[in-house]
Amino acid sequence: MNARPNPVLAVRDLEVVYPGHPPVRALRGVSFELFAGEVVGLVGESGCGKSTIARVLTGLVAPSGGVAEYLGKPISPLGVGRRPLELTGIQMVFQDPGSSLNPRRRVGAQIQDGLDLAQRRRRGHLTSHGGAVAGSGALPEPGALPEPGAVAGLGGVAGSGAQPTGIAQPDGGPVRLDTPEDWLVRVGLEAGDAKRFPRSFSGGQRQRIATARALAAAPEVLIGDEPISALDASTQARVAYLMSSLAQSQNTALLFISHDLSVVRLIADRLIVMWAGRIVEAGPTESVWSNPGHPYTKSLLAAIPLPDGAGRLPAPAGPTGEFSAPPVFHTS
Amino acid sequence: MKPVLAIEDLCLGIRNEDGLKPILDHVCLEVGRGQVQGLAGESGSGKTITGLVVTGLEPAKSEVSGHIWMDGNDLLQITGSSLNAIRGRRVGTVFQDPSTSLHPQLTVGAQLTDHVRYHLRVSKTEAMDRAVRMLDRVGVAGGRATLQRYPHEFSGGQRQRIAIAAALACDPSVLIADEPTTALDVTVQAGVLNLIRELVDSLGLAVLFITHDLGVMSAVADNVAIMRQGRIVENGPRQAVFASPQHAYTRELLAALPGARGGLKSRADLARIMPLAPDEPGQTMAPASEAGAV
Repeated sequence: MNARPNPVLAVRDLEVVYPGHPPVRALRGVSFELFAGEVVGLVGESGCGKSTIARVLTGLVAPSGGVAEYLGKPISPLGVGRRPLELTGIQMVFQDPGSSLNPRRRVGAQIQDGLDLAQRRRRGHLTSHGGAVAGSGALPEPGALPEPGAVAGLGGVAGSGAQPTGIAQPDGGPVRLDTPEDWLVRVGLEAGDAKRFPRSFSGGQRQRIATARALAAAPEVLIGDEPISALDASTQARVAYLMSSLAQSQNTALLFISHDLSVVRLIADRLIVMWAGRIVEAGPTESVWSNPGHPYTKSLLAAIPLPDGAGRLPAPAGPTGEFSAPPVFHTS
Repeated sequence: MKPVLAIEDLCLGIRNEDGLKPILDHVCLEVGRGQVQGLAGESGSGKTITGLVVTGLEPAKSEVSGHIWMDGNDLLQITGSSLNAIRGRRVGTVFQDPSTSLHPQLTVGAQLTDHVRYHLRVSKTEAMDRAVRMLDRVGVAGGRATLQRYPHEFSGGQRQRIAIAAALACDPSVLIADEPTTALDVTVQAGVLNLIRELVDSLGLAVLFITHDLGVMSAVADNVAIMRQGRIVENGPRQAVFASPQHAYTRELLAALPGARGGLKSRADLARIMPLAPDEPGQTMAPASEAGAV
């Protein structure tokens, strides 16, 4: 294994202009990289361009400038046909739990879609999860993933490489995730739920199912575009934690897009803060949280009302002019 | 001090084919002058419908009992013009989403003067003058020219300020604010929360502030009521409820939040509270050395 592995996702000088009068410059030169097994929080407020990034990464929007690369190849914009098989290594969980699953299909079948995708990519050797054991001459056991207990600490597995045949569970066997039922249990639901339709689940449960569906496809990259913002406050942290720990346990890079810094900070290894189509600050989470360098990040942090009972009104934002200060990058 | 708005033993059920589905169960709340009474709870707990009953907007097929006292009148007993005079004029409401609570095809001016002219019986010019003063009060610049503009010409935060101006245009004594900042960005929310608190302190408004966000509650409320399944499980001064919650449900809610006392501080806390699955990390996990983790 390389000391510094190649990024699974690399975005360089990305620009997106939406047509209109006048045209909207949604992204004005954004660059970042995403490595296997890490959780990156992308935060910012409405209109800052964070969802546009998700749309470029899933091929829904063609960049007007710059490039977005997945495993070293540019991401092609979506055409009329199906996404190319290799690009299904990028999976997404959407904001609205009401529309992130197909309402007319049983949830088991939808998770099975994800498992089938993973299988097809493994056959085509399009996944690095499979690649790690290719030398042993056998296809990896589908769904035999590293035990997440081993990575419950802060990103223990990040950079250590995937070990598809798994770290043993305390009782000896690897966690098997071969069937939709396994996945449902893994995300805290019951095996019998596979036969139910999305409408019979709560919002938080649906986001868990959407996470299971996305991760069953054994993606290299999971993108969550505001996956928790439509949930009750007490459910938000739980679903965020579920997404991040499951993604890490299979060495998937997670790009967690959210406007809620207080939850993101609990799960992210790194933070990227955006304002007006630009990255204004980036670095390790604790460093950005406790020592914000950019005026916008400072005002964003000061505006978060804490549930501490102190009766402290959050500070309103200062003049936006000062937010165009040069970006601040923390070194790790 | 005598409360401005007193909700007493409010029960509400919705009639459907299976019978009466209970929604509210003996809800009691009081809001005094210059006070913000917070009402918090998760979706489906009944907090929104409590606010709607006060303004008479509860769903059809509702069966309501109890009392809602204002100025010595029970809003659930009086009808017709006396009801209109109280709840139209003396109660203002701000809803969650200003893009739907403001009429998209009417100018801001029309929406700020219509009810004023009806309730206060003032001339058009006088209503316009009041509207300009209200806009100035809530921090929307532009004066008289603003009245000719339409809601879509404003940002979300500005629209919510306009909605607040409309709610306060008739000089109400009670404001029902149902998730007034939930649809806003956090920096914009900060401005609106400051505005609401400032209006309460200067105008002596009595506010019923409904939200699921305990952070917001902690910032603006004087008293906090926690609602669950149509019942108020805890109600008390803000500091007491946050510092030493009496009810298990309140403690549970706070424990699941980042930044609360005894709440989530790190990823390790999440692993502790999260019942994910049988092999949930951190619960059945072997010590790190045995599992071979780094």
